Amino acid sequence: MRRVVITGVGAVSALGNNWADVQSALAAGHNKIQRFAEWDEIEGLNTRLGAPVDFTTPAHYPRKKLRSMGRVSVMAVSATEQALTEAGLVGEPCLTNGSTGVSYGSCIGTPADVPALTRVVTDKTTIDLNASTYLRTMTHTATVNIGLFFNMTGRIIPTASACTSGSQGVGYAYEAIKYGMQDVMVAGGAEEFHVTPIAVFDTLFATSTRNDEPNLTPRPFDAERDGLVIGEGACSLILEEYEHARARGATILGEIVGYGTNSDGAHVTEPSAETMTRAMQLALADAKVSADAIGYVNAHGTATAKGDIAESRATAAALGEGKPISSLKSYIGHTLGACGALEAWMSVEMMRSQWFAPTINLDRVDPECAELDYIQHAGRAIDCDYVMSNNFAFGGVNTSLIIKRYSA
Amino acid sequence: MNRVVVTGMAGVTSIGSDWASLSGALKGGRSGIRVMPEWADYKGLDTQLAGPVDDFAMPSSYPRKKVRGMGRVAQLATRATELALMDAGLINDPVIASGQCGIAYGSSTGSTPATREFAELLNRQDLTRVTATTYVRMMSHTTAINLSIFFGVKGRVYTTSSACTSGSQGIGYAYEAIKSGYQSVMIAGGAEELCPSEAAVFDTFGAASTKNDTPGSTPSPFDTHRDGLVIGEGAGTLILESLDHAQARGATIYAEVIGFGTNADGAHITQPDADSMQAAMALALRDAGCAPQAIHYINAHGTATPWGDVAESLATQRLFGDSLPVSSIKGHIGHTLGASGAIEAWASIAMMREQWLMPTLNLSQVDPDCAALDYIIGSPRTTDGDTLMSNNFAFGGINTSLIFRVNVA
Repeated sequence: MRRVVITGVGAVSALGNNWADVQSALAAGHNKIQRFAEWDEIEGLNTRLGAPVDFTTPAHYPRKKLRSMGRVSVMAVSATEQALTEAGLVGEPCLTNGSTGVSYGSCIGTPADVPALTRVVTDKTTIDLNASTYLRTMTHTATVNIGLFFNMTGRIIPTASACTSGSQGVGYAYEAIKYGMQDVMVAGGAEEFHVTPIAVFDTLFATSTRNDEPNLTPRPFDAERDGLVIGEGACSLILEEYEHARARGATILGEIVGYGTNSDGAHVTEPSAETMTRAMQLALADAKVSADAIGYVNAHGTATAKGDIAESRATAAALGEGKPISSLKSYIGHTLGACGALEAWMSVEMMRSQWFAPTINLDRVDPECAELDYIQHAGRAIDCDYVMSNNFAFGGVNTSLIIKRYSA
Repeated sequence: MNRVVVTGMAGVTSIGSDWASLSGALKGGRSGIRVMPEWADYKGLDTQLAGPVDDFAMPSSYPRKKVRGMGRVAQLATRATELALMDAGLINDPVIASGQCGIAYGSSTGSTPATREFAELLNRQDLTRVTATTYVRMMSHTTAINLSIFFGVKGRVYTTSSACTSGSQGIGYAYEAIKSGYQSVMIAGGAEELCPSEAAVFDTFGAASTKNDTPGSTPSPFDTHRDGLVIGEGAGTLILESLDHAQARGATIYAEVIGFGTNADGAHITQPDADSMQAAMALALRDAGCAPQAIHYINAHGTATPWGDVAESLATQRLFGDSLPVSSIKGHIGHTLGASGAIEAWASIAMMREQWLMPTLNLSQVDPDCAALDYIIGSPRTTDGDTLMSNNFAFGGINTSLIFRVNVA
């Protein structure tokens, strides 16, 4: 089996787009949650909270290429451009000769263009439709647009699986290289900020309604948590076959060594600790390491009542009690399709800097959550060789990634 | 590397939802295309043709609790999968819920009535129509998730929603999951429900047929008088299994999946590119370890768009020469989008096992701009071949090529 390493990362996030900025924002310990007064107008919506990113379309993107791209695609392409630059792959023949593929997803396409499609039926007119409408609304819009923007001709793996879109993006890209189908993969996920996904979670009573205290929510694992807050962002990891990376003298940020994915097969919105445990065990088996080797777990930790309890119990069952764990959603909320990729990236960088961010707003651990070493209040110095990053989707898809520190 | 075989096949189509009906329609030249009178009121929509599955109704035996999150596309997928699992002798088998069985399934969109509930939210700032299941019905991976919940599948899920290659990528990625040893059994395929918004999308490119007065004559893949595609609907499911697993339980083996290739144009989102189509077929041949001469029949994507058929025929001819039998089922049932790759794989395998090949319906005079191939025209053809290729090419530039061998030694 071929080894798979990370040689570049690019991101669009409320904490910053590079590790230096992100690390200082994490160290500052403030979340990026805002209140949206304009949502008062929406009948039936309970939450007013969200975490958008201050992102604008790069001025140098050609108009012709932007036609098929909504915000989610532009963020994904921008993250990928940064990642390819960091990897030193811009302009390299391997991007366009069939060696490079794309494994990427988001929960939905660009929602703003959806009414143009639905008007066909509701108003019996195609007046708002143009040739690009479907390309912007389709769920694999970011996946396809990345390939087109950089003229990549390898395989496309659409990984739109709600909250595991980004982590499946990384996992399935890793397998595509491991088994020799591709040498390089752009892997990750993106999501644009919009009231649609917020409404979805709101109808499930899964959103936080601490509307007057945006700085105090979401609160993963905390006894006083009241739900998740939706964010946005994008993250692209360049995965590369180890010898391919070495041969061109690439800087290696880490090695993907384990991936496990499965599904609950039971209920759309009731998470199952048993299958979450199984996903982590699958990743450990794939990585051929024991639970003891994992030095830190990056939790999905959305701050929903049921999700946090199931996840903490599953983590304790798979890895034992006392494992250091934190959730980055306490800073930027739930970035849905982007979260798995953003969290994998930040976990690798935390491992490289031997400093792990705490879950902010976690003051008192919910006694229903399992006994774990929740990193609270301040960052933690941990010297470890393996981190695990877990994600669990609405719909019952589970993923677990294990990343190894790279030492030349 | 595990060998991967097909042990169950089923589908729901406009001309039959069991092989006896479907094969009868394919042989008899029966079309599933009809006029959609209600579309005449749609302003700006030129096509009024589609291939609906008029006789589909969700079985009343399905428990209410399990169907709440299903729009029509998920219902079609569930029914096709139930039939495929029955065909494989795996319905209610413990392996389904053991973690050893996964799903690779997709569609171009989720259920569009659910999308309209969300559009209300955007248009009227009113969330009251949105319920807990609205997103589950609307999301593009609604088929995969609903299959997982309905059948209690606990293995890995691939959401292969890649427009017109959703079904073929479903089969391809399922094959790789078994080949690499991640799963023993996979539910693979794709589905699509008919919505005028889909027809409108293709209409905006001038890609939809407007022979509204002669529904039985269109679409006409590769024909010189073709004027575009007709949207259909349906679902197709293949049960893939490792050869060892299938043999151990004494399963009927229909075919072996011996090759899969997938790539992308990387160039233009709506203009097909013969070079990358050819590369996808070459990838599948390489994966199968076989020469072009080993292929005895190609089931073409053949949507009947002017440029798609030309590019596809050129790509095919460059690799295989001009004497390989080729046909497209889209003449009979139109373009079933996310379902097409799976329905076509099912029909192709079943035909070859019976040693015949369907003609392309409505093809009478091959377009001189299409490359020379042995287009099957008029009536079915007998064959003694055992290896076939099924190709699909998506809007968005994704290409897939699958190779099946019906004699599994």
